[in-house]
Amino acid sequence: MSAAPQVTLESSDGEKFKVDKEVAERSVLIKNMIEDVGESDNPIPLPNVNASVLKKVLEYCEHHRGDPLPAADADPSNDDNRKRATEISDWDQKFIQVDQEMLFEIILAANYMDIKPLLDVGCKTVANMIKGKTPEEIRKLFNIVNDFTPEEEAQIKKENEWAEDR
Amino acid sequence: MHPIWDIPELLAHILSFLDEKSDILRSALVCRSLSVEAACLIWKKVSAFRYLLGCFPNNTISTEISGPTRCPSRTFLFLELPDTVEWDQMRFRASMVKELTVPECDNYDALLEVIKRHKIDLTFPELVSLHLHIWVSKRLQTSLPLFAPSRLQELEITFDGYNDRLINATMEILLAQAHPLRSLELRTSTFPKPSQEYLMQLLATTPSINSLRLTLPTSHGEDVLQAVAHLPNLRALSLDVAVCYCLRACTCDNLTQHIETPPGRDWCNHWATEKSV
Repeated sequence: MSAAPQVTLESSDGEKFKVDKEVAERSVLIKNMIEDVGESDNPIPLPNVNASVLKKVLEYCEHHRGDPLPAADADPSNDDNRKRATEISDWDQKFIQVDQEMLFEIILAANYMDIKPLLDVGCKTVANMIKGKTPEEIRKLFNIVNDFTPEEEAQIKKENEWAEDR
Repeated sequence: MHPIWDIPELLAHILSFLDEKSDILRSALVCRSLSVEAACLIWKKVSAFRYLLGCFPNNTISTEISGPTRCPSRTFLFLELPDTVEWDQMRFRASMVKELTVPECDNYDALLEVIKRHKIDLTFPELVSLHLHIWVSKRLQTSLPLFAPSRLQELEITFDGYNDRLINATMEILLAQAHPLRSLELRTSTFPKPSQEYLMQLLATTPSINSLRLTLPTSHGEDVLQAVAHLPNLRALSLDVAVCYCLRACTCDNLTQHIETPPGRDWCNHWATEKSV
């Protein structure tokens, strides 16, 4: 039995990761690069992802290597798709229990590497952290600066007033 | 502050997982970048045209309420004309609306007059679903070009009244332009000949329609039926049309799998049989 084909990925800080091609191709970015360049022994550079984040991303890809790929044209506004989308599996929940900095870096890496299921897990986790909190609590939790003037804040409250209880 | 909070598409994606409107509303008050993305979700579906008037300062518009409490009629009057920035604000909100309901008895004459006189460019470029419920004639027809759909997919018009001129104007403006339409629902208490011609024209030129619900009086039901029979993508149909002296009704959902027609309606049976083949 021949060994599964492998590719080498290189993080922004120069660390190399040898992984099965099937695992690496969970990333649409890498899949397209391999298709464009063809099979090669040269490492694939990922200048926007450092080693610690790439290690974590590859852990996710390894666990989900056999999963069906998400449909490119899936409509997220569709209720069924949304319902499925708001659920996070047990393994993914444990995987994403990281500090806030790492959570955001995983989201950025998933976005850059085009790994939609991982991006969804990250964004859902942030959304869950936002749920039920006041604007001030959200700012405090994520260290966000309030850049509104009092007038702007009042205007937004007034404009959106109609949407409450609807 | 992490740079993620400055990336609009990621913020939009995060907010898309908030199911409760209250969470989205609170997110809109966190910071400017979140506010912009939250606004897109808040203003995506607007259940009454009048909510757009909230973009103007309090001293700009007065609202007079009359009629029964159950269904009040609001008349909106300008106390002061909005300035350019305030109009821009309203246009900005209108540009986010994908589903809009223009309900019942509200009177927008003053607003419409100002829009017309000052050539305010208020449109709904992203509108895909319009629900128009016209219970009184007023001058709402002058506002219809506002909603003139270039990418409308769902159109529902309920017209309760006997103003032929208004229903014809409505049909002319909306039906003549709604070309990517997938779902059409018309309920009218009058349906004069010009309106029927606009409808026939729409049915003949819009193969994308997959759901059609018509409740209207017409003396040319057979013609409507013929036109409906040629819609290649139709999946749901409800017809309730008065033809000559008898009311003929036909309701079919999921046409390709399941067809039911009322017994004794030969024209329905004939059509349904042909469709099922």
